[in-house]
Amino acid sequence: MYEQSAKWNLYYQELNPGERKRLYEELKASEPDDGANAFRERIFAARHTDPARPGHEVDTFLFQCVSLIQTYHIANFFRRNAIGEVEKAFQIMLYDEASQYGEAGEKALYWELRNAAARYFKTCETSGYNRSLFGLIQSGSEGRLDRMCRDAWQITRGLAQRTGSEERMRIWNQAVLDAYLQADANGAERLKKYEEKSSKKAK
Amino acid sequence: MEKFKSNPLVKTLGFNRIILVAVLIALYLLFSLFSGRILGSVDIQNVLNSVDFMGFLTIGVMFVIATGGIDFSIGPVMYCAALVAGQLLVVGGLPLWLCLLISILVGLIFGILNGIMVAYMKLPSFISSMASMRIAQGIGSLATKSAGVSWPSTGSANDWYRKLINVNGIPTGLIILLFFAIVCSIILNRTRIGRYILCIGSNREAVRLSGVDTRKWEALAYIICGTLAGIAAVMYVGVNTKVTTAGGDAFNNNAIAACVMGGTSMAGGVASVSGSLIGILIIALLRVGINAMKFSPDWQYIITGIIVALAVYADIRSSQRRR
Repeated sequence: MYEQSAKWNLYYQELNPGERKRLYEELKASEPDDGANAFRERIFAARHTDPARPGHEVDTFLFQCVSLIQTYHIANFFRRNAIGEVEKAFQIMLYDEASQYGEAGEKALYWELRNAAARYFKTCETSGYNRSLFGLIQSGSEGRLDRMCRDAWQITRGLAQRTGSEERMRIWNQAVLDAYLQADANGAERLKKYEEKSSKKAK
Repeated sequence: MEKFKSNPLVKTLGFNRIILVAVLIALYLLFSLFSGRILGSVDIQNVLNSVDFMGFLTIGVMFVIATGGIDFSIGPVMYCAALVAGQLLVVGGLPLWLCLLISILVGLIFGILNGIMVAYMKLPSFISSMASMRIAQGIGSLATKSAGVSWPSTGSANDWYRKLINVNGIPTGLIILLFFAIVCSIILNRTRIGRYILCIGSNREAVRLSGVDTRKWEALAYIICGTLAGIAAVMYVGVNTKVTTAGGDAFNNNAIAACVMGGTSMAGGVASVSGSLIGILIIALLRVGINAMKFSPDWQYIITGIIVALAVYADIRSSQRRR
């Protein structure tokens, strides 16, 4: 649905912001503008600029990946608050601005979100992730992949179910879940199992 | 059971919280039945006396557990604050209001110390808080020359601080605790501070790469914990005027067990103020119930130990199920 040329794929698969910026400048010079370059620049700036501290390296989209897990946790008790937080996150990620640039804008948004989610799943490979018992126990590889699956589900379908915003979160859900399936070779099967378990609980 | 869990009200209130309240009621009925008398206002006052200071310790350590760490120094820090401030009041002759402030300040200093050791020096919280525990016990002992301290009892001059716990039967201690619990719940669930603390517990590396100063926010969790231990000291002396040296570590287990029972995950990233408070009510009721049944107080340690083990096991099982 959101297919890209090989060159743009390279740009969206790169997780280092500095390297991405360099790649973008090259692509901008060599590739014809599909009408979304202005949005790409806007979205990159929104993601990596801290208006309060210029020059300070940030990734506001990556933070939303962690923050929405917390939003999922509070969504049962503070539903309206959770809906507000999802909207705030989407505002930060220029979610509604994409439509101004037509199909190319939506595609650029999808790939930027997917890039942020891919960066999130990359952080799940670090030793600090999925420790238990006050940080004393490090879980094995399967435990880590299971928790990644849980995270992916909670910030997408889980949150959408709890806030009743499945349609609103469509692009976000697809971007995150596609990034997750790329990060875990058995992701599809794991996600299916997790979803079955979650829907059993919900019934 | 699944039908009950899927009830919208149960979903909103949280299944775990409902179970905890049910356990609390069941324990009350059980103790009333086996002690041969209905636990009355005196017993409830005893429960509240424990909850008044234990609640502060529990909420404090909950912030630390939410970051994925632990603080084993809360009980001894509470004792140390009570001993240092008490000594300054009784021997040093400082005004009472100043001594109460000093007590909170001692807790704050230990919070800063723990925060620096864990967040900036990267010491494992398990080890650094053990070190602080010993330091707190040592300072408490040194300050009082191992003799402990007796705060002014009711009827003597300077006894107004005891009104922080109870005024003519009104449980002011509980009201103060509830006020702080609401503030802490807002901090945890509705502010940037709480969001950062929980997110650090969830995925520290992602938060760091987002540009957030994880060290600062992690240290802040320890500072909140230490400050609440200082406030707990004020509440503690309001109930028990006598403070002995080298104690307080027994309260660590109770506070940690209450947090874990209340739904705070030992892996970090998930915390509940209300759940933690219900957890501490259960532990306080256990203590009073065991006394009412005329069992030796030692049974309380055994039962609390078993509860800690069960709570840890339940937390591990539940995190495995959540995946």
